[in-house]
Amino acid sequence: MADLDVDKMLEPEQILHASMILAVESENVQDDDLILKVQEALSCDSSDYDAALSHIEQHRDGGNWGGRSEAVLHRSRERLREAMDSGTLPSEGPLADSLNTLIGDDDDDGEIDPFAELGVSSSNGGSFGSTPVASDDPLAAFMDDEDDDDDIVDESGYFSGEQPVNSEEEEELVVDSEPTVVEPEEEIPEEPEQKFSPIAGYEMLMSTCWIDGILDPAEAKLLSRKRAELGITFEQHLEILRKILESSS
Amino acid sequence: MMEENTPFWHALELAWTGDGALSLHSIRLLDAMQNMIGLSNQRRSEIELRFEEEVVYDLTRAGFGCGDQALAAWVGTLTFLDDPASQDVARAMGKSALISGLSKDRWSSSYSWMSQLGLGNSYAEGVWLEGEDAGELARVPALLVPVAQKIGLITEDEQ
Repeated sequence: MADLDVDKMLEPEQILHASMILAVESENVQDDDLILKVQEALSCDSSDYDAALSHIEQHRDGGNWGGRSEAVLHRSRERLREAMDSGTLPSEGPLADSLNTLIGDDDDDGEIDPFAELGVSSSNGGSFGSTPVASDDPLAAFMDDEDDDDDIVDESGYFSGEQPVNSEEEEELVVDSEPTVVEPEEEIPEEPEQKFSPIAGYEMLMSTCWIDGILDPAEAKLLSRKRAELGITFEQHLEILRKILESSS
Repeated sequence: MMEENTPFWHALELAWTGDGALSLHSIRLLDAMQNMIGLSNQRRSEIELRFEEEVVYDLTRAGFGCGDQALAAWVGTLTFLDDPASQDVARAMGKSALISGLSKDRWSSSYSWMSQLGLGNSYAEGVWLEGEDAGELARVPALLVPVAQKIGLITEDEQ
């Protein structure tokens, strides 16, 4: 189910973002011109480019991508393939050749994709959508579902001004959530200015922790990760917690 | 800090509720405890005032303050605070509390309790998974048994 959603959400901004990630990480491709052509082919404007570049600069982590570089690159390749297959990007011609070169770094090249053979290739948006099931780990599809759950928490606006740093799911979150940010920008220019401060976002997230009455380790772990990402000290955490408990009592 | 969720409140309960009377020995033990945990006179008076209103006024005297025996035994366990490992134990207890499931009320009361002993921050770090991973809680120290019961880590049978 999540895969269908992902398919629907694959927007030009995401494709541009994926191509920029691959370009940045590519050692063999001269990319300056290529990205411009991709941008033109996708009818993305400079704000889309700037947003994607800003995200990459924030989270690239020297190419480490918070320890998930393989997954990030894999997902980016999948998105470019999908874009080419669906006709969003040309599948023939000089631009397609350049894109194939860019995608060609995939370690999976040459391997037989059993899902593709069965007609459910992830790059075709089949039953498994764009989840990387055809790669190393079939369970990744299920992990993606789990990740989407995390994403939902973040996509609900709590961290619209903050982009997470160090995990694949968060990488996905930012990419997937871009359209939801971009579209309102066109209609309501003031929207991007209405960002939550990290403290406010954290407070909102924390307030959901006891939604079922019990704090559990997964919630504590999520908050711990967010503290690190948002630069919130433990003292600030305790202060926010105290405020929440006071207001709820 | 909630008065009833403090070690000093627990000490008052031990002192008073044995037979509805407070012995001179208990008064001295309470003074000793106040010094050991660095409790201010102001805070002590707030707790005692509330305890009188909530508990003492409803007691019926049946002796001469036999609660001092239990109080002496428990105050003796305050030496745990001098143990260099006490903060680590508090962290481990926090993590155990998290794993067993912590409601708002249980968090508030246990944090309040641990804070009065100077263990609040370590306990909170354990609960909220801050910093290095807390170790396993091998056994609950006698001093912390009352709070461990409050948060459901141990039952009275397991004491």
